[in-house]
Amino acid sequence: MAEPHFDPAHALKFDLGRGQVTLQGQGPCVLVPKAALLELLSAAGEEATRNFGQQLGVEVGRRVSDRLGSDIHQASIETFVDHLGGELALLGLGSLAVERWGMAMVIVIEGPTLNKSGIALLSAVVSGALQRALSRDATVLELAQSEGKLRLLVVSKDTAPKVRQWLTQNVSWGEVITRLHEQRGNA
Amino acid sequence: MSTDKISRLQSLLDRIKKNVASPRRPLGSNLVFGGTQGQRSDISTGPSVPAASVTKPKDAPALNDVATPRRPPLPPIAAAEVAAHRPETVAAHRTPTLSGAARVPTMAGAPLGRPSAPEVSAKPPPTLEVIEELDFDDAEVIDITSDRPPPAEISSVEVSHVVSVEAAGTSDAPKPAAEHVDDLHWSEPPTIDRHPPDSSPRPRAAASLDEALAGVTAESVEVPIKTPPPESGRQPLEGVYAAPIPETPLPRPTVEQLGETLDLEAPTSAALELDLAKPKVQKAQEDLEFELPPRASVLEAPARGEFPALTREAVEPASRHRAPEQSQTQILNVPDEGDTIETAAIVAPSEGSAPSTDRDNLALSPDLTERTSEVQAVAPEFIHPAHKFAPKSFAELLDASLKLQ
Repeated sequence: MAEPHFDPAHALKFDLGRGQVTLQGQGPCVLVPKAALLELLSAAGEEATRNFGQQLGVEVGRRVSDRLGSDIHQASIETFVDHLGGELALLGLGSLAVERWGMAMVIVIEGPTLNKSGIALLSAVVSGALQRALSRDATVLELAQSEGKLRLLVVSKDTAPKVRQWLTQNVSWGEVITRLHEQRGNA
Repeated sequence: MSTDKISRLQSLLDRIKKNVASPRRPLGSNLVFGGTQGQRSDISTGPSVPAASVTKPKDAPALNDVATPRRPPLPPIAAAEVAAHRPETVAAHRTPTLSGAARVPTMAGAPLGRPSAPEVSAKPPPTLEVIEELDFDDAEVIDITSDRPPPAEISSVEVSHVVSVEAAGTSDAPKPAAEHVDDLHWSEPPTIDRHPPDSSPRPRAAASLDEALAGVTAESVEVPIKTPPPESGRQPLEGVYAAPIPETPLPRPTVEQLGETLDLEAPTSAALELDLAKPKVQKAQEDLEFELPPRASVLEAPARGEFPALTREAVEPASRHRAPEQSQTQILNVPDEGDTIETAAIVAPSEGSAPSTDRDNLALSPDLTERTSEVQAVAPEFIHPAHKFAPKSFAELLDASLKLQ
């Protein structure tokens, strides 16, 4: 069965008469400068940023789920990335890619360098989208950001504190992934 | 075949050769024996098929209609013969052959007292009858190999020839003509005293048992005179068999060939000792040879100290893992009294072999050297190859990543 490709046609509509912008036919949207948003998020705090990002992600996940339908659980990595990345691209959140390091899934978002609020926002958007689309309760942690690429590690909520601890201990993100696999092998 | 037969056959063969060498004269221009009529002459050749049996197809034109010169009907044989040839001429110039002699009786089947030829020609027999008369009967076949004189009918044939000549001429047949015709006659061979064939009398079956018993004694004495002697049986006393057989003494073995003959003693009832096995010589283990101390009897059990140290392992106190009494080498074969020390073979027991001795009183056991059991407990290390994870869907990869702990 051929999987549908992401089609952004008519996804964003500008109603100049009304002065409204619609995204995929959903409600009016506001185009906010990124820097202003990030300051707002920074002022709002981490929890507010996460909630804001979760809401954005759920909407992304819903649209992806609507596009892929019931076959979303069998959708290939390429297809899912295509649709998820397309939605994030419509939001102006950057270009999404997925790296597989062993069994670990690392989401790579290329774009302008983000601050902490921006990273927290993207992590919350991806987490919300996965939760909405695939019904998985996943935690997205920042592994590294370099050269315009933000690498986000998707782990469970149980593993997230350990990874955060390793990261705070200046453990390289590669070592973090290795340790995750060693822990699994010894188990 | 007797000599009489041979002589008669020889004479007959001479006559045949003579007749063949002489020129043959046709019997007659109009003489027909049957078969197809010839073109140039009236003498027909071919098979003697009865003329009456010749048939013609119905649709074929009649022979009369064919433009062929019609021949005059053939005159009867007897008439033709009489008309064309004078009896004197026939008698003078005819050189009868054997076949002609055979034909004559059918041609002139008339009896001896046959009237003249014109009478015969007055009522000529049909041609078919002539042809039929040419066929031989069994009675007319002459057995030239027979010892008996030809049958009287053949003689009458000759007489009939003479009669036919007489019919042509005068009734008194000249004798020379008859003598000339006599060439065809079976001449009686010169009288020879014929003896019965040389053969032994065939035994006659006895009428009764007494006669048979009586005949046995009489016949047993009789010896067939000229019966070929059998290959085996009584040796005749005449001829080459009468020659005496040279009695040459058979060669006897000389004394050198025989040698000195010794008389063996009568066998005794001594029991044989079969329990001692012959020693096996192992040349490859020459270093294992040793000298056994002389003992009174081989059946006596040797002392403990007499056991040799066959191997270095046995020399070593070793037999580290064995009790001293169990570390001795097993002697499988004990040298017999007749055996020398060098030929006595001692086989070192193989590891794990069952203790076996030839003597029950030799309580020996194999020297078993066990391997030192200083095996360290080394846990096996299993190296698993990296499992190549290839998720087929994004959800599968997500689940795998969520399982990382």
